[in-house]
Amino acid sequence: MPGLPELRLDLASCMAQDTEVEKVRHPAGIAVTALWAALAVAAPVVIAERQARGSGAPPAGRNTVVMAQITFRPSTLVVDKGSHVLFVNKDVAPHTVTAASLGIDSGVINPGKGFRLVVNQAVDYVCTIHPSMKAKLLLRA
Amino acid sequence: MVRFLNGITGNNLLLYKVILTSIVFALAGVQVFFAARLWDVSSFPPISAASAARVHRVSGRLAVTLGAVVALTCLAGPAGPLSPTRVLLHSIFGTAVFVILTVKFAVLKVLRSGGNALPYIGTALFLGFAGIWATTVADYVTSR
Repeated sequence: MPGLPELRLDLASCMAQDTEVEKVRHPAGIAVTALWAALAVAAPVVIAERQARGSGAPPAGRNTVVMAQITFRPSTLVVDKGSHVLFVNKDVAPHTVTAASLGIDSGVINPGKGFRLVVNQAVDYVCTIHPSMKAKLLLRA
Repeated sequence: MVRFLNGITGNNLLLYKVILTSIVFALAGVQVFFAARLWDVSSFPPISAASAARVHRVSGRLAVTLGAVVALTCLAGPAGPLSPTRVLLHSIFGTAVFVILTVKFAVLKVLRSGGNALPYIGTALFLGFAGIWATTVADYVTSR
């Protein structure tokens, strides 16, 4: 790399004033490095552990919508007018069932919790926490 | 934890994460500019290399601190799903950033050698943050 020797000198001059301070900081530097290493390990471990725990999410039953893997299952549910639909969060993340135009908002549904809705009209709903989660309830003709 | 964070953000936790992630990404861009000045690759911004080093250090610490806060809320909350593809990529980018930060801090603070690799590590870090931003903020904005 052209100019590298000058570069090293430049860096050395930049850091020279901090030399003593850096020596004192050394344990903290190691601690911060260890922190990042811990997070680098924790991230895949958390994902793998939650995958193992959540992979057995049951299929949706009649008039039930399951939230899992950042999706509503089924994405389209056909029900009779006046039916109760149960939304069950089997995911590892909190979700909502929201149709703002119809005034429907479940609030935050934490993992393991549910929400019941009486359906009197077709509903297009989303999770406001994960906007890519979209689904609909249709009325049986 | 997620319930607490949703509470203090008025159920707008995702919006706060989007804002913080955008700030971190912007700071990552600033880091590139000042690193280029520090390494004498560029004469912009027109300040001394020593000043560029100081700015690089301060903005870097701010970026990784904010980034760590966002990452911890992810790990405490939604981390886990591997679909759709966007979420899978986000998990990969997020984990990669942790790994790259580990390598960078090891070079800077523990090994105290291998400094010639820092531009490559920094570039990888910026691309990692770009990937995280693209797989979250871009999706958040386009979904609305």
